[in-house]
Amino acid sequence: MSVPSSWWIDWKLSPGALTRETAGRLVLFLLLGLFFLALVLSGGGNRFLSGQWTITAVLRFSVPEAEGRGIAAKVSGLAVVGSAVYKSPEEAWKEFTAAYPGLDSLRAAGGNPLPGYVEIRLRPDRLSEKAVASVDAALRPLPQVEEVLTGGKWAPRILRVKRWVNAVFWAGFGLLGAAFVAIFIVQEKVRTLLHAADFAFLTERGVSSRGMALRRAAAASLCGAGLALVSIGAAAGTCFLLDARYSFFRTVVGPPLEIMAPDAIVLLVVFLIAAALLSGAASLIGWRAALSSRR
Amino acid sequence: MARGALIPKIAARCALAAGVCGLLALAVLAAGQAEAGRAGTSDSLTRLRKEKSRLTEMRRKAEETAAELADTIRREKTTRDRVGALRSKLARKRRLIERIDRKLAALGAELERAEGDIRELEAKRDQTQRGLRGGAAVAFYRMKDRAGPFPTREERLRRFARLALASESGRLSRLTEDKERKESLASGLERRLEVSERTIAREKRLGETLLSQRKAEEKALADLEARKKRKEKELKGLRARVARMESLVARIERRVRDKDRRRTAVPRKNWPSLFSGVAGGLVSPVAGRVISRFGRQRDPDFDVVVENHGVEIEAASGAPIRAVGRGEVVFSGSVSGFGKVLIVQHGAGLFSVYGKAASYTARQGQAVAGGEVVGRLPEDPDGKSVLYLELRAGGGAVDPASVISLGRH
Repeated sequence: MSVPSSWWIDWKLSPGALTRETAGRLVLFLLLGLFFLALVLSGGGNRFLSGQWTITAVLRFSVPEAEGRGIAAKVSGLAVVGSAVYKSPEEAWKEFTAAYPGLDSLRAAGGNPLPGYVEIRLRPDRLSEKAVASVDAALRPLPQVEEVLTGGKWAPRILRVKRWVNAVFWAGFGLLGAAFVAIFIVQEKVRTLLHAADFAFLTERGVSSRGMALRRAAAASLCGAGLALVSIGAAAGTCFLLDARYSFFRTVVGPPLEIMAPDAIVLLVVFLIAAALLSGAASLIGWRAALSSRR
Repeated sequence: MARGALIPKIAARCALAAGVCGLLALAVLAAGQAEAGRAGTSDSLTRLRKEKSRLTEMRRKAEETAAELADTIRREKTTRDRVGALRSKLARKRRLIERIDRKLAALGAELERAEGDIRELEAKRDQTQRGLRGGAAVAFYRMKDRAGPFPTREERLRRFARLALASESGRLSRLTEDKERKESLASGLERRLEVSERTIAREKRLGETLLSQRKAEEKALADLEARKKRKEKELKGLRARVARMESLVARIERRVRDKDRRRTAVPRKNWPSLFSGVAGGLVSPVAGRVISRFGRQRDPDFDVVVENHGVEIEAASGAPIRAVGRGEVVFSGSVSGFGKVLIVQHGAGLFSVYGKAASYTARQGQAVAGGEVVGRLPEDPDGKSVLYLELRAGGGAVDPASVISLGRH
């Protein structure tokens, strides 16, 4: 008699239960995938912070507009810089009066008292004290630059908060993943106990218990990887949907197209592998736990 | 010897002779007076004396009037000069006052401009201060009421606010400085205006004084001109009277001389012997040597014959001059060509004439003894001076060497 294939033994033994269980796991993977994708795109608080954090190079009054634009173009070429935009004295005045309405009289008497400036935003993935210092060091020696504003005393505080926020996000993701693994282990244990008689029958007829466990783990890994892939795809679709509907999504999370960036793809592959490994591990742990409880 | 120099010399000698003759005419009058006493012509002499005295008085008066006239003319000239100076000074003052007036007008306009600038600056300063107060209030309420933008933008806006307020504050201080400078300028202008007004008032006062001075000087000038005319008229009258008197005296003189000639007609050859009657004899007036003799002499320098009525005696500079005999001084004064001349009458028709002296100690009318010092020769650097001596008897000149041993005392 040929040994029946034990790759899908659980499916053969109880397809209904396994279907329900897999649907549940899909939901969990969807949540985890969405969380992961959001973290990958946003870098935690980096995306939002880099959108808000600006380094201002205040130019001298004598600097003409063309020269200001040239400086902005040069600054844009720095590796850590996401964008650098020249703002004319008129734009500076508009921003100022928008922030402090009622001060028009200051200009009425003696012309525009504000100079032009260059507004610099760092790349979200390079937002750090070192990057800020490098931009400051590049701008400060320029004779056209009167002053470089980098946030002053707030800069280290905000960057510290950013680190904490990122840690919290990733910790949350880790906890969620751990919780899901725990759930998977319980599911595997329960299923193993449910089919314990069947597994014992097979063992008595010469089927290796160890091999059976490994084959079940491999099947679980494949299932986990598949579910992770589906969930990532669904999460990406969700991101595109949210980005289209909510403008703040791009500000807080980032443009969904960045999923195609090499760094993001690597992370997604890691996510898939991790999902497969953890699913297999949960199967093995559940198997062993079921055997221990039967003795 | 240049011929040109000869004529003035001869002319001087002729003038000398004529002058002495004129002087001797007066002396003859005096001599005539003495002779008339003896000859019984007392009426004519008395009248002659009176007329002579009147003539002398009139001449003195004419001289005084002429001197007064000269003085008046001199004063008139001085006054005219002063009036001219006052006129030019007044013109200068008028130009100065016009210049100050123009300056005052310019200063006034500048002051008005400065005051306008100050008013404008004050308005701008008020506007700036209102802006600053408004800005401060807005900034305060915004900071109070809302959390504010992201810190980096907040930092930029704060920087902008500082720039705007600093600019406004700088403008305010500039306006304040401008205002203070303008006020200082206005104050300076006011001070200059006051000084100019004081100056113009002073110059006007001075001008009025000068004007009154000019009027006074013009009045004085008019007085002087009137006085001059009066004096000229007076002088003219006096001269006419003198001329009439001289004519009268000449007539009397001729009459006395005729009488005297008739009475004491002495042959010319006996004229020197008349001096032998002088009491006490005759002495030489100075110790020296005769360098120019009496009568017709050939001048070796000019190679001409000249008629000398006297002799010239060279003596030591400053030597005393003595009277040749006893007599009375009838004339002492200056005669053209002779310098200072003294005439002494020694008796009826006898006269000694001394010329070219430095001074005479004897006065007119004084009696002198023979050998008495009557004067002094002039000082000369070469230590020698010359005395002119002429003796006259019977209306003609006598050779002094024929009656006096000249050169010895």
